[in-house]
Amino acid sequence: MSETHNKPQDTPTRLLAAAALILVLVVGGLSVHASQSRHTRDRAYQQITAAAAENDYEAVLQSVETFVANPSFPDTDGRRPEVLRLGRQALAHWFASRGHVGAQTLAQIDRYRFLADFQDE
Amino acid sequence: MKKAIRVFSVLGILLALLQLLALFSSTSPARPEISTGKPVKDLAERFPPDSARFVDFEVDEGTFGRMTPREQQDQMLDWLLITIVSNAGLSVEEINQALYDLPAVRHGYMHPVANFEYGPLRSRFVGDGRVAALIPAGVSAEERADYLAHLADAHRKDLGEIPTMLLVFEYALNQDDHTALLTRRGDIEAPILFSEEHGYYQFKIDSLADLKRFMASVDDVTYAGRQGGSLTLGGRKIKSRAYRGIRVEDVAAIWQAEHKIQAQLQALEAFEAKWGRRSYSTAAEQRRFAVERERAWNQLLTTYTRHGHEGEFVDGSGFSLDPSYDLSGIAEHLGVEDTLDHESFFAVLEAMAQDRGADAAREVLQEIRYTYGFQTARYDGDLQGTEVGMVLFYTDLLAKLWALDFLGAAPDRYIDGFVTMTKPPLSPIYEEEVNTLSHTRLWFGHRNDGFQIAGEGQHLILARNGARIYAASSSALSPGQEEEPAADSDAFLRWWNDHYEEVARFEPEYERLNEIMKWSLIIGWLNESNGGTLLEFLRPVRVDTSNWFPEWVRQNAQLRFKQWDKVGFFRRGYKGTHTETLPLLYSKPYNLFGYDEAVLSGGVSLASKQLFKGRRGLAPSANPFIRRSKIDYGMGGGGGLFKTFEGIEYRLHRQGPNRALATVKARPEARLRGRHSELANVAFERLVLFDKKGLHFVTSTGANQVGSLSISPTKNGFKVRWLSRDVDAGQSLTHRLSTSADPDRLVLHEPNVEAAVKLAGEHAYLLKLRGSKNWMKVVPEEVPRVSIAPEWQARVAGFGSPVAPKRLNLAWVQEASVTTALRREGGGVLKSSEGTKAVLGAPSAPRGPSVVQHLENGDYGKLAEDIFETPLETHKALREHFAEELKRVDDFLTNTQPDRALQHLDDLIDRFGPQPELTVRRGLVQLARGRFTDALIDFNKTLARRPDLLNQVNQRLEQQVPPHEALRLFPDETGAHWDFHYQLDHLSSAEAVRSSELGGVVEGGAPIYVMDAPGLNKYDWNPSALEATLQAVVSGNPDALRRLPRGDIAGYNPAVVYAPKRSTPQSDPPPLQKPFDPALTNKFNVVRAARQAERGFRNAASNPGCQDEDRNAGCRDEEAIYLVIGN
Repeated sequence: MSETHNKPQDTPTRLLAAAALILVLVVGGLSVHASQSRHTRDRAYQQITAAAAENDYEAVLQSVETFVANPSFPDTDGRRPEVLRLGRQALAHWFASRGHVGAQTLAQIDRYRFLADFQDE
Repeated sequence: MKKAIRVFSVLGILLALLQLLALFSSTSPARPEISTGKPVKDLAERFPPDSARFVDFEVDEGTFGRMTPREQQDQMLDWLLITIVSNAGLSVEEINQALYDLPAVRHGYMHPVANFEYGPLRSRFVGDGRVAALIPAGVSAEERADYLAHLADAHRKDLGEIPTMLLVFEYALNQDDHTALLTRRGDIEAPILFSEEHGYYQFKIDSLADLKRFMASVDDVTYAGRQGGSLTLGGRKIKSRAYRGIRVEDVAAIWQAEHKIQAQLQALEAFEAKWGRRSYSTAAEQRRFAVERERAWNQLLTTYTRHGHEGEFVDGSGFSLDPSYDLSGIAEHLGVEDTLDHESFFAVLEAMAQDRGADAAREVLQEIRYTYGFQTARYDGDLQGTEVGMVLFYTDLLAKLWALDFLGAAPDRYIDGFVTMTKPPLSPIYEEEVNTLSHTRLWFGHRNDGFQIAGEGQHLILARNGARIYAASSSALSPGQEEEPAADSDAFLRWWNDHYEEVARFEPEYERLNEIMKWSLIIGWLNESNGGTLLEFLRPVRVDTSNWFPEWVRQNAQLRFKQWDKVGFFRRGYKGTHTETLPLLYSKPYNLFGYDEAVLSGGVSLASKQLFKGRRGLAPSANPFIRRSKIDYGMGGGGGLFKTFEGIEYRLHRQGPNRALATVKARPEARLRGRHSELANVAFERLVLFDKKGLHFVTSTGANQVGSLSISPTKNGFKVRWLSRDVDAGQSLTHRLSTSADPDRLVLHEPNVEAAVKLAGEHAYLLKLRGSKNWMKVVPEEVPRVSIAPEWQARVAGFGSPVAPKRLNLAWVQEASVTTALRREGGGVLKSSEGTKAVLGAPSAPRGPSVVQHLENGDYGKLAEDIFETPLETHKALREHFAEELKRVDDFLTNTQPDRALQHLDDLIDRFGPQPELTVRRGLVQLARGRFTDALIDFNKTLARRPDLLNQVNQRLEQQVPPHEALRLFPDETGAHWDFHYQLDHLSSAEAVRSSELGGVVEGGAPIYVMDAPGLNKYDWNPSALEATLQAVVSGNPDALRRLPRGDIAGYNPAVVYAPKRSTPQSDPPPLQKPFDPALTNKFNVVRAARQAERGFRNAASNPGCQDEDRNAGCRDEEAIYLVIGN
């Protein structure tokens, strides 16, 4: 029966391996997340432009919400200013088309409050 | 093992770091924003070959209302050209350069700063040697060839070299609908247009025989080049029509005349050198010197001048008809003892004007003119008796006869738009000027933009047209003190110059004058560049000098003017003259502005060597986009500044990738005259701006916008929109005010007026137009003035209305100065932003709440903040604003301004989105504009969201059609789309179509409707089977196919037509009380719809034979619909 001993000279190797493993896992996770976010944003962007062309304001707003909720890593998606502009325009057109402002409209406005969180880009 | 772990760990770390780096540096999708400064990548993006693009012009009534139909056509062609250039793959800066001298609007006051093209062609250089060529569709092959050659020649002249490619675009305009079809055809390599196959001939000219061969080959000379010691000439044969050119003998006459003048000038120089600076020491020596000088001078005159022009040297050839007077008779008439000469005669008149008043002096002058005046022909150079001299005489005299409409000879009945001086379409603002400057000198000369010196002075390249008409005006009592031409002369000569080729087609002697002018340019250029000897072989050519004008005109039956007996030439040698003489000619009495006498003089000045002295040729380094032959390349100021020979100053700036500016200033003496208005001579700025909506051309004068042209792509073409602003909209409104019997009412009800202050006095206001930053001050011009008073920026007066027009001065003032002006002028608010009620006191600033401002400015970020922070207030403000704007649209419609209503609706749709209240109005506006297909699109958009608006639409549609007929929208089988259905009153005008005519029906393209009957439903009504099916139906029932002359119905393109049952040509039932009732009507379904996209384009696009009244096979029948009736 053999016995395994941790030799002091093994520690750096183990630390190195552990660090490498953690780094690979973190970077891998980030990559997967970035890829998924990118995919979601791409789809949302397509929906935004299609809905904007059809003047489907609520669909624009929902897709803008999706787009903004899936930021890129780092946060450098060049389409965001355009997306925010379309979102704000859709909000204004949708709001102006309401016959009256009731509780439901106010709740929806509250939902799109995120549009004010971004400075003009 | 450990080593492997380490290696893999390190590798893992490295890979992870690399991946991390890749994540950080990964390129995210580009911001989809315009940053390249190019509206499109290349031409093919927006103009696929052979694919018709539909162009929709949106122009308000005020702008087009001040243009004639012909001017509207010219305007639309300009806009088509701008559309092409804007989509040719150029950067904004290049677009600005290509179009710097083409203003976005064609009002007359832009003319002095513009380089407008007239007639059916437009063209522009678009980079890389390419020229965009816009020509009409549906012309013959020969006409097409001539058009393309014309444009190729024009651009060769401007560029100094042959372009590489012509990008050909064909257009078909529908002027009534304000639409066009624009189709890009195959590109043409421009050099092949400079081959004999395409009518271009170029010969080396070493001898008279070479020149004869050249002249026999071409109609029009377009090129002269020097290479070493030889001359090369190029020219065109016009393929589509006869062109009246000139002969070798005529060229010889011009060369010999010019040669003699040059010899004269050299002798004169020698004389000056010999006698100019002689000194003397004694009085006797001085006397001897004077005698010798006199003798030498007389010798010079004897040698070089002819009897026709005694004692005077000239520096160029030409002709004029000079007013002459029997001065001894006048001296006797006036009781003057001394002998009168021309100068002392006018000195006597001036003294009389001071003593007895100008009117009295004018009366005396008029009487003297009638009794003692006549005209004498004067030939400069040896042109008397030559054919060239006769052409100059005839064209000069005819121009004056036409200007005065002598014996009704003016060609305004034949040439659409031709302007005479007796009835120019002029506003009363020009009254004082026309009455004061009644003496006009008209003369023909060269065009500065008719030729270009290129190739470092070795080439002279000529446009098709090298001649033009000039004028200068003066007071009758001071004919020597000339000024800019008065408005009536200006209107006459401007129109002629703009349409010279058209006038020359009507009277081809002007084509001969053009060729004479172009040859004089070539000879002058050769003389100046010491190449005159290259045509030395013309010296011995015998030129017939025996012509005498009164005989010549009677021998030439082809001349347009024939009433020579009424002209009444004097006999040879009349009053001691050596040339032809004729009486002063008068028009029929006319009353333009209460003064009925205009005096014309002038002639023809051919080009000479002196013209080319110091004239710089095309600079090889000049930017090809800005090259024009009228640019003075010696006057460049750097920094994008350049000038034309006429003194127009241009400056081009780039202001970033998406903005570029062109500033243009007319020469200081120029008058910026329009037909109804005049602008003070100020600089214009034209900003080219590219944004998400398209390309915009914003024209301004100082702080005031003239208007804005926007070009944006649509699904199948382009929308071209002219939005008039301060200056244009202000002038449109003032034009209406000037002829309004109730101006207060007009101001109150004009939707475009946001606020108004009534000033003391009639027709005096401060007006704030919607969308304008400044106020407009309008005050009548009480005392007529020759020009605009310095404190005003424009003046306007309409004409031709039953109400006597007021002359109104305009100035645009800032809001801050309105209250000051109000205090000074007195008055009260007539209309405020609160509505149309009269409110006294200072005007409130017509500003809406900030929410509205954010909306109007398109600042949706700030508007979103308003919505989040104060939703209820924001919503209230938006809805109120929306309701106000809807009312304004309705006001535009009530005021029969559907085009303006459409522009406003489009703005509102931009701001609020396509809300049903807006799209339904847009549909109604399109109905009012006669654009039924567009109306249907808008109605469908509306009903998809608000089906409840159907009744409102149908009620409006009922008003659209004749009594007892009906038009309504019905859903199709899917229920998601609505179509027009039309109910006819009767079918009594429907005629049976014989089987022999079926081919014409099928090919004609008119809509066909088939009764919904079992006997007919069994047939195949597909287009491929249509003729066979109709044949089968008609063979069974000869009366089955009926032609109903109701092309108006085709305009709606109804999906279904209903006709009353039992309707026969002989008897019809009484009008239906309930339309579309299946029990009482027969239903006809469409089997072939009207071809909407092509509707209205037949004139330009179809077979010319189809314009005959007979409907031939192959011609589209747009005057009818066809009904197939079952048993």
